Amino acid sequence: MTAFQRLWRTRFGRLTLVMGAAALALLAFSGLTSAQVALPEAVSEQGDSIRTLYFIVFAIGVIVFIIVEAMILWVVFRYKRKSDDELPTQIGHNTTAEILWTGIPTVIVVILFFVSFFVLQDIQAAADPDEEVTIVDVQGRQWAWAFNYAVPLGTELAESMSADLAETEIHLEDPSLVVPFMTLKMGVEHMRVVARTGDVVTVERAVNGTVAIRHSAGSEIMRVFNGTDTVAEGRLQAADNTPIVTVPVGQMIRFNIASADVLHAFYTPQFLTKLDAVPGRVQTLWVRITDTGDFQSQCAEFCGRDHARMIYTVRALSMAEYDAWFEDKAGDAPEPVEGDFGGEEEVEMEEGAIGNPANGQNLFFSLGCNVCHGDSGEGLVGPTIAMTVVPLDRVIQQYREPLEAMTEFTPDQVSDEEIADIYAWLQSVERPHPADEIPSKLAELIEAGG
Amino acid sequence: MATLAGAQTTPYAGANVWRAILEWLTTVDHKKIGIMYLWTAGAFGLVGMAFSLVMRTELAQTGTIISAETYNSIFTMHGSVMIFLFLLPVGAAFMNYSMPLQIGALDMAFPRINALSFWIFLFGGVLLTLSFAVEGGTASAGWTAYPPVTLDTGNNAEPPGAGMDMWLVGVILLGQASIFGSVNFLVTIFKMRAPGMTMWRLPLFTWTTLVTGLLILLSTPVLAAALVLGFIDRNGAGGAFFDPAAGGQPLLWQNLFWFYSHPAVYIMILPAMGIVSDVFGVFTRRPVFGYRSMVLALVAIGLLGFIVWAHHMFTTGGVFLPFFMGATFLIAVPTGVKMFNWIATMWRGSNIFPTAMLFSVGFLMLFLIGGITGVFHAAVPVDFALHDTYFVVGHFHYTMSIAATFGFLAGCYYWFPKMFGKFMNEGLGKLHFWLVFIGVNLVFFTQLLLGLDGMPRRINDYVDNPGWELMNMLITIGAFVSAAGMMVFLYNVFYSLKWGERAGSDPWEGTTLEWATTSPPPPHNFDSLPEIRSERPLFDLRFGEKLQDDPHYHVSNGHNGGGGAKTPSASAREEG
Amino acid sequence: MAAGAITHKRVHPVRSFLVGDEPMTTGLWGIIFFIFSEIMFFAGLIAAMLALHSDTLFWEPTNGAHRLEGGELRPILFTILLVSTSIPMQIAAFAIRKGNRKAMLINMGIVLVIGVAFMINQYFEWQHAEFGISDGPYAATFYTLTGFHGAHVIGGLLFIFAQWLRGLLGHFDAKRNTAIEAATLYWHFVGFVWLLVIFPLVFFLS
Repeated sequence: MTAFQRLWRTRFGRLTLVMGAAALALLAFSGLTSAQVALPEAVSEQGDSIRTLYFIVFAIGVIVFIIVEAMILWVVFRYKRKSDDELPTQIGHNTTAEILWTGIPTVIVVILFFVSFFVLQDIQAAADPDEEVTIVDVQGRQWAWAFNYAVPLGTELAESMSADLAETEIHLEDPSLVVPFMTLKMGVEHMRVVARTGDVVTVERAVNGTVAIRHSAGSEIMRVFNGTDTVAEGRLQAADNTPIVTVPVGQMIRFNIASADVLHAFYTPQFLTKLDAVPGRVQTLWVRITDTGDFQSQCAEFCGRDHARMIYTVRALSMAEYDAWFEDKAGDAPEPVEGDFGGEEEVEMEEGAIGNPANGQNLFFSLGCNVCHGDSGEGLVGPTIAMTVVPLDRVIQQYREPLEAMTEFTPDQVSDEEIADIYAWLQSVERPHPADEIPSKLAELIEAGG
Repeated sequence: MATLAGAQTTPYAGANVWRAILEWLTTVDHKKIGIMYLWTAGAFGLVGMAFSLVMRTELAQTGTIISAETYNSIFTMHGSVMIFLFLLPVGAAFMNYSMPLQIGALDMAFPRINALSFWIFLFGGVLLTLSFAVEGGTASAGWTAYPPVTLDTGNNAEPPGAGMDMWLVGVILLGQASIFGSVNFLVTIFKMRAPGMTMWRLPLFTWTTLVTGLLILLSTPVLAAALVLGFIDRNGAGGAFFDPAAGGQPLLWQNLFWFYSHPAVYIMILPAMGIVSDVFGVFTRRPVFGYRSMVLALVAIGLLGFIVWAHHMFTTGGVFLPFFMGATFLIAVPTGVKMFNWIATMWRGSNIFPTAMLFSVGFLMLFLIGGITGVFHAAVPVDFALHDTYFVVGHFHYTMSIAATFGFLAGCYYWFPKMFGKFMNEGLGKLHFWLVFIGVNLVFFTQLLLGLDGMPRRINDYVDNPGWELMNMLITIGAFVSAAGMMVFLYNVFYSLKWGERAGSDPWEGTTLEWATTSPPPPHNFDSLPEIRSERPLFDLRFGEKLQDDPHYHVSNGHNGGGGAKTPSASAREEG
Repeated sequence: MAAGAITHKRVHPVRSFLVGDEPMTTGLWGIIFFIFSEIMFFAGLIAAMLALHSDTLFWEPTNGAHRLEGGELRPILFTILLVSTSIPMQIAAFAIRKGNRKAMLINMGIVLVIGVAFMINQYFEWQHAEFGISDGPYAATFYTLTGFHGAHVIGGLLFIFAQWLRGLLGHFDAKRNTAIEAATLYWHFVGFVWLLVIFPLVFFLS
């Protein structure tokens, strides 16, 4: 008789063998799949806290699993009917035992609650008020990401804004610094400058369809630029261009997460956290990154057809590298602009006077405008330009000397007449979101006010 | 024993096939309605399983076989069919069939409304299925249907078509069927109990029916409210409810939806828990341990089920985290109590392991993993990492999907002799069990690991993460192994219906009243009832005398625990 | 002792008022549970209304139309009328408990007339409203809530009308009157929900 057979003959032995085999199978399985029974290594301080909590829960879970599973196997293997007329004990309850197995789980979950609560407080804590933070405005849209950064414009808000959407005129101390197409920011809210008449700057409050319900305007006016890099080696298979969000290591980063259309979720596995991008809200995720590198990330809330292709990369740079990148990306502050614009004569685009929309549509795609602005100008990484209310000469100026992250086009590449064709086509397209009745209201305002 | 043998078998259906069909179509007999629920839900379950195999084939490797639209439609319908057309109605099937028998009732309180429930359910199910035929295909926003991706407002790049409306209306109908059913279950339990069947003598499956009925009654209407708001939003209101661009709130849907859909998880799992409780009681020859604490735990789960809905929304940034975290942790306590009680029932028991018992033990093991992974999600920071990954897919399949299915399969093997007068084949049953048990563990344990590695759910391709390929292949293999097991089950059902060994009225030495009548029971259920002096009247009848000297064996002397003897008419008027 | 135990009848004042002293029939149990589910349905809709109102960018009709104001006489009048029909309905139930079918029929007739008048007024109210269902959250909730309430009023009226016809044919007496009790409970529910629907819409949420 082998040792194995001897062992198999005792109940304890059988149990041990079964459990041992199961454990071996599990180990082999983990090895085979190279899977870990842990969350990925965190690259952020908050992620580290979460990972620690995970291990606490995991340890308790494994202990409970082993104990209860052993109990199940024990009663299954140990107690079997031996004869047809066998009658077991009829003990129907045992108050002590029942109190015990109500009480012990209660104690465990109460402890877990407090541990989780403190970790939660820890990871949701904002930066110190006097600490310097990096602010990245994250915007999800079907099916791409845009990452915006802001630099102070050096001007203060002279009069407060109304929360009412219809009133979108703001007064700045020095409005000459703003030019059309520029995106402004107060607090967490983005606004695109569409016109200026005298001291009054007219802004579109819904950039790319985002509507911030809670108006939290601060007094400092920021100029926003699109900091989305769009090339990442090795990640070009799922999407034509993988957006990259560039962030520094060591500094607290505040991700302001918003959505232009439907629900998305900002999910970087190495941060061990995620936060939904909910249209109509701007939500805050605080992260302090500890390691440099590129981290693969992906939308984690179902958002329609190409949800699986909505990937992005977090690129963590050292502080010095990040500063250099930021300087380069932000570019120079705009030159102060004299005089009024956005006046009545410039808004007028008479029927027939403008170009050929069919040719414009061809140009729109052949020049690749659709890559950033969407197939009908609804906006992707770039802003919404369908039915734009920005006057044509300002649009031409934007082609020649682009503000923000747009490719420059020389008159050889696209003539003024061709731009007029594109402009004509953009005026004719069905605007994809009716939410943007706001620009048409703006046009009314401009006509009335101009 | 004489009372058991006394019942006569009543001819089941007329010789004429058409008359038989007509009889089934017009029946108001709770047993026939239960069996119709079972067949229909079983068929839908196979459809849902076929969808899962399509998904697993697509995900086995990187690259795509079917389009993203098709994949989205398939995973949406997999969830919708499995939840609304399989798990919920299978529970309703057993509650319909067994509950009135267990309390010694002649039928449900409202037999015609019971039939109406079934036909509304069938119509709703057909409507959901028909949406494959309309332009734009089925709903494709997941079974949770979070707006605004369900809306056709302009902010959504690919607005869904009429299939989404059919989904909304279909689920409203299914909910209405559920509500009518729950009213019926509740009134039946409160009003139709046999003399002596006091509340503390209800079999545990009947108790789960009661709590499930209350959950359905109070939560399903809130889903109906969400669904009608969704329907109006798509057909007139233009997003005023759920699209922020029109003044609505996406999170409002999530709150209303989960106010139903979290209790719905318990609506699916509680009947399964009731079935395994009864099965343990029979095959161990012991009273289910801690009967009263089992009932209290059930009630506690039901109550807590109403205050934890927002734990599905931890990452939305729109809920008060500590409260919902605490309430969610607390759920572990009553479920733990039930787990320990089940184990204690088998402890020192005289256990035998026919297939029904195997599935019940399998239920314990699966539910254990499901419960422990639930604690991971209750800890909010860990949930931030795991939410919407395959970890959550593995977790909820372990609990409400596969554990519940195991409970229902146990119910099939357990009650099949009662329903059709024949045993299911035990050999095939054991093959079925092992194939499915190994298959589902391969599928869902691997999914837990995949989720830890960060694979989000509801994606049709993972081309940027070739490292996930091996685990996905294993999951696909596991899915096909489970499906093979279910094919064995399907064969077993038809094999046993035709060639199964004949079963008497009480083939398992049952403890509850459904075994006190013939198999299948006559239309009026009972010719006579044994004395009911505990929650195990048939056990008392069979072993009561032998156990007279056992100090742990208790039956009350009176018929109804101290209230004095009652005539049937008096007890029929008694309020529960 | 055993026989004495069941003849003892405990009297619950509220229950006795609502459904009488007879043991509750399955039908009454059924309607009570069903009303609970209906309450939850309206609770869902009303919760949605409150949530939308508390956290939306705009609430008032977006087409610039005026929302309904609390100062108007007609909504107040019809609200009082509808809610007060609970009284004749309850009197009808009291009457049939005593076997007085004639008083029951008269009181139910009053309920039917006022109920129909209420629905006609609702029709004019919808005609009169200057906003459509797509004009923002207030407008959408207004039509949804009053619409679903109206559907329940119509359902209740049809049920009462059917029982009224049965009463004319000589159905119901002091012992067999479950349908009347059920109709009464349901009608109380319909009136109560109207208060929960109309007061926030017209008076509170601005």
